[in-house]
Amino acid sequence: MALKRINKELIDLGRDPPSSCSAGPVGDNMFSWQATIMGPTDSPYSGGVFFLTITFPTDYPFKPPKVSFRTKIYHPNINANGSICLDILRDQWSPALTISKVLLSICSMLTDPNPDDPLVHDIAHLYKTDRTRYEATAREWTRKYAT
Amino acid sequence: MNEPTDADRIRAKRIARLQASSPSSSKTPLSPSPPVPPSQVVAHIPQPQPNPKSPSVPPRSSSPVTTPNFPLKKRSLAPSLKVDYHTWEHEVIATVLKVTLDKSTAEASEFDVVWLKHLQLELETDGYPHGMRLTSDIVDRLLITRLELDPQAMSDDLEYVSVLASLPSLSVFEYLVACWKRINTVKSVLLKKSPVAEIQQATALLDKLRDLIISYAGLTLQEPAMFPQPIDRPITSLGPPELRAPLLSLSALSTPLYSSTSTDQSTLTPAEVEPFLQDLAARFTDPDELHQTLGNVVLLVSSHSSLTRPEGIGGVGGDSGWRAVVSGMEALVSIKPIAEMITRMPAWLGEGYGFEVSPSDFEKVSIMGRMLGLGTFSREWPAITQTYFSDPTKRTRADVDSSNASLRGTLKSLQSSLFQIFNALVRTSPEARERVLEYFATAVRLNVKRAGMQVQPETVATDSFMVNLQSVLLRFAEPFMDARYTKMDRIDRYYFSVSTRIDLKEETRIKATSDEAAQWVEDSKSKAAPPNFISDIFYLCNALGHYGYIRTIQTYEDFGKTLDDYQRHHDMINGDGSWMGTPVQARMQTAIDNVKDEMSKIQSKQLAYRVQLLDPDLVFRYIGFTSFVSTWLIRGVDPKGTHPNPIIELPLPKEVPMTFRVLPEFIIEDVVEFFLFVVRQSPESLDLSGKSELVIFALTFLTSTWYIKNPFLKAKINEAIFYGVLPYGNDKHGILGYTLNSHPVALKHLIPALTHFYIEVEQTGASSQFYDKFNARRNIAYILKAVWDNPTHREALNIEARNVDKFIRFINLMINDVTYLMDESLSELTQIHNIQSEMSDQAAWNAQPQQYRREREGTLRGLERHASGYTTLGRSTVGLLKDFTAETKGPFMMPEIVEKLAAMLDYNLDALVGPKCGELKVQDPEKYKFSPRQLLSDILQVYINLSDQEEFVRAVANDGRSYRKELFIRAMETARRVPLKTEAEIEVLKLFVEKVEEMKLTIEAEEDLGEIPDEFLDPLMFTIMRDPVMLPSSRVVIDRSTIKSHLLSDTKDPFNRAPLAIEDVIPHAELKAQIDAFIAERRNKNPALNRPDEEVVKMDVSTD
Repeated sequence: MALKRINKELIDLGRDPPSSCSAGPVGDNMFSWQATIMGPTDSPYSGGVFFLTITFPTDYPFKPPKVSFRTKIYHPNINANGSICLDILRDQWSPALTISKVLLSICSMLTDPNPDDPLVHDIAHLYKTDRTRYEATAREWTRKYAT
Repeated sequence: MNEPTDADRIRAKRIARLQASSPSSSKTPLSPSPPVPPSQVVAHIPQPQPNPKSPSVPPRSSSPVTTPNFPLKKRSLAPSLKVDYHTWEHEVIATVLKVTLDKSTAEASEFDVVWLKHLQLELETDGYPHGMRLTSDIVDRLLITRLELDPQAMSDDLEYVSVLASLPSLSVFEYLVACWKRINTVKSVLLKKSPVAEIQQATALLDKLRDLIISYAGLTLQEPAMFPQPIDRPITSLGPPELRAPLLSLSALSTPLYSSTSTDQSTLTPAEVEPFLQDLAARFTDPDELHQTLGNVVLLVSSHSSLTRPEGIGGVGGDSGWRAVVSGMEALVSIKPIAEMITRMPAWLGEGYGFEVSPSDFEKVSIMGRMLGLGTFSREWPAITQTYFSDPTKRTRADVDSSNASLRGTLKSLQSSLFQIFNALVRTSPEARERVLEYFATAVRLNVKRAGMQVQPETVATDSFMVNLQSVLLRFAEPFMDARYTKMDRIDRYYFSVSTRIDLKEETRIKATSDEAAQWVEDSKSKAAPPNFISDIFYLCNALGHYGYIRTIQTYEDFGKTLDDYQRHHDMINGDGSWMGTPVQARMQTAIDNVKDEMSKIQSKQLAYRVQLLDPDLVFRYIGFTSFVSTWLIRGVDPKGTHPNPIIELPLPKEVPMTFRVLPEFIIEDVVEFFLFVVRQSPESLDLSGKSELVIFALTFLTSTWYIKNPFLKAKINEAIFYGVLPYGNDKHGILGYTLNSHPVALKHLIPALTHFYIEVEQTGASSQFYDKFNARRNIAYILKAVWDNPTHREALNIEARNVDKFIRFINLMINDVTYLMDESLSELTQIHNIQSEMSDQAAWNAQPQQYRREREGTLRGLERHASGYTTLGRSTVGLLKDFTAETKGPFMMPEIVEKLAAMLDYNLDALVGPKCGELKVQDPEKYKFSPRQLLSDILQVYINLSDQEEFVRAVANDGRSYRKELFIRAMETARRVPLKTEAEIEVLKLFVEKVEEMKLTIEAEEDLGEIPDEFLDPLMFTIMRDPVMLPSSRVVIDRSTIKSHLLSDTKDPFNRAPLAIEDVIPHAELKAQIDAFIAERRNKNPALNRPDEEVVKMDVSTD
């Protein structure tokens, strides 16, 4: 089963942690993790700390982990429920990807949203038409919910 | 209007021409086919009947027509048996033309008979030998002199003033029509009673007179100002409009648009219209001349304002002017030369107006356009929607039905007349047929944009136009669509390599690039015959359907979506109704009323669309056509080329014929779209025919999906079958249930088709594939459920399972789905549970800020929308798993399957009966289609089904995540308590758990190999590799079992996404030997590892 694989990922994360993220199991359940992401400095999320939950399906790593935001965030690809619209968490998943790589992808998505495949259409629309207002709102939410 | 000088010039020219042609034509027969004697023609006209009732509309009041003396003359002629020929001749000419050279005759008739004084004098001067007797020799001079008499002319000849003053107030055309009618009367007397002996001579005289009168009638149609006309008649009302009038009075079903009493001696009665047109056509044999004579008449009829009245075909109380126009057109085209002429007119294709005709103008300016544009669709006929379908919610079913019946009855008669007209035109000549086809092709060509996603309706043809034209083409297609398909091979499969009638440049092909299609045209030109009529109609009917009928169906379906949106909007505004009695009540009420109003408008439109779209006559014809096309498509890929005699063998050959690949995708797409539409909107229409064609079509392309490129198209084929098994009426398994359970093709191929397609949708290449696949599989699960009671289908599954590789992929995907769907639905239910419990603590909830509460409520609504979808899907997939594991166990025991199956089952068992199962308790579980007991029962059944399988026991024992003995104990308690299972079944479960526990001990002992070198570890699972292999493109070394598992769900190298198949991996014998040695060494140190196990035993053999 995937326990060895998940263990290995945890060890690697501890040994070589990515600069702006961290992740690990909640309590003694190896299949249910929590992660944090620091808002990238070149984004309106800068200064925020965002919490995420990660659960591993029984067919991990052949299927992607389930990752969602616990902290409210104003972003075209993340909805109020914390669900993330990211291709590698859907059909572009590969077993060669890891939690570490997933978290890095989410970081880069915070810097560069993908408004053409949005989860929240209003935010995507604002992002495309009035970048300043989008950034202001995102900063406001970050201040309010993520600090 | 016309400058007098111009008019004079034209007149002089025409008279000169007429006089030049007239004498010759009186000597030799006028045309190759001399006009049929009127009496016979009359007998041949079935349709125009004299208006039975005397209409209330008075005849033109300004010109009372009195013919007091004519009956007298007639009487004087008729009874006198055998008169002297000269007397007869004189009388006839006088009677017909109503002229005399004798002043006293005129006086005796009170100048009703016109005295041609000037001609009399002229003749005297010329030495005319017959005095005042009228003879054949001078008829043309008599007529032209009569016509040139101008009542307004100033005359100082007192003797003549009274002649001019008494001239009847007839237009030139009316006078000539009166003459023409009198000839007919004379002729019938002549034939019946033979008043003279010289019949031949007499007939020749009448022919000459007729010829002359028709010639001048033609001239006045060409140029109404040529001869003096009554001063009180505007010139625009003369000439062509005067022939239009009787043409528009032919329909027995409409109030004549220009009525006159049947006693009117200067107006053509309905029965006379056709012979009169015959005479005109026989006289003006030169096509250009005929065009000059009747072209404007045709245009005046075809563009008549009655076709654009707001009430259209929905006029109440029999006032349906459009029928008059259609009947007039039918009369015109019933005469071949006129029919021929019509197709040669520039206006036939909407040309000659000095501008390039736009798609939306085509139906306004082409001759048939306005008639084809009649219909019930809301955009172009809003008044019909308003009259028949306003306030849709207040209308009863019976009311709507009766509106449908009445409007459809009208449509049927319209469409049948339209076909009559086109058919008459097609049968006129090869050239006319060509021009008719060009008309159809132009309608197609101009409306390519209609198929676009964002089409502006004002810029293209109306739905009414396209649908009516479709009905015409369907009627043309009927003769070649016989039940045994004997004429099917007449349809040229190389048509598009020679015909450019339908432009396919922008069209997607079924399975070819545009370059491949172009190459095919080059390669196959030699194979194609010149396009034949059948092929033209077949392909045009397809293309027209694509841009017309099928597109309109889509517009109709879009109303449904808009309506849903409004409903949601309505529900959102309405909310929980807590705004009632608050200050915002008035504003909220207004908003809600507005939404309701919009919804009502859309519902009205839907009803109006249904009239025509679901007109049983049209639907039935289109089912026939679609069945034919679907059969034709299959014959095109049948290696024998004979389908359906015998029926195609499935699956199809790997190689897809080029003639099929280059076909426009819309041909196949529209078959699917239409079947889908009928199955959903009008399943009863399939009662008579089309069901087996639909099933064979669907199974052909679902078993052989490589024939079609477009994944959405294939999903729709599957969807059509799905809708076909939804309960309908008394059919528990839908309109297709019986066919799917009895047709030999279905019994043999339904299961393979569904399993094949289940696999295929995993990777469609579409960006939405992740979610699309669930829809497709939901449909498949539903279909399987509908046929599962049938042992033949279950046997088919067993046969299918023999194809191990494919079947394992199938069940692997099924397990993936269950895993994902159950995970999603259970986690969403948990979230719903959490929010609901938060809300149930009223005090704490109300203490929360309003913003927070609103967000949570929003989240809850979102979850509620999703959850039922996922739970339904999850439950139906678990149901499949239950059915399949009962039927065939072997495939589930493959190493790459069994472990994930066990892990998934344990995980869900944990969720359902484990310590956290309380989190699934939600209010109204039915609302989310959540039935935990059913789920638990199904999951336990899978355990029971597989409990005797050694591999399964081992896999459950091996599950390091969810399996616990306690779970089963609790599950068994529940199963007994509810009860979900029998005692015997519970006993089986108990035994199973014991076996698992035993196995666990064995495995624990095996596990510990101590520290394992990194290079022996699988890069994905971090377990020791037992059979290391190298992936060909990424060069990564991985355990065979891992890559095998991966490839079941994803056919790409996980490290670089290059395509990969299990056959391509490269065994790594050297590393395997090292690992084997390593294990052997460790085992020697740890005797527990020597516990027997199939694989370990095998390895032991090599090392001992």
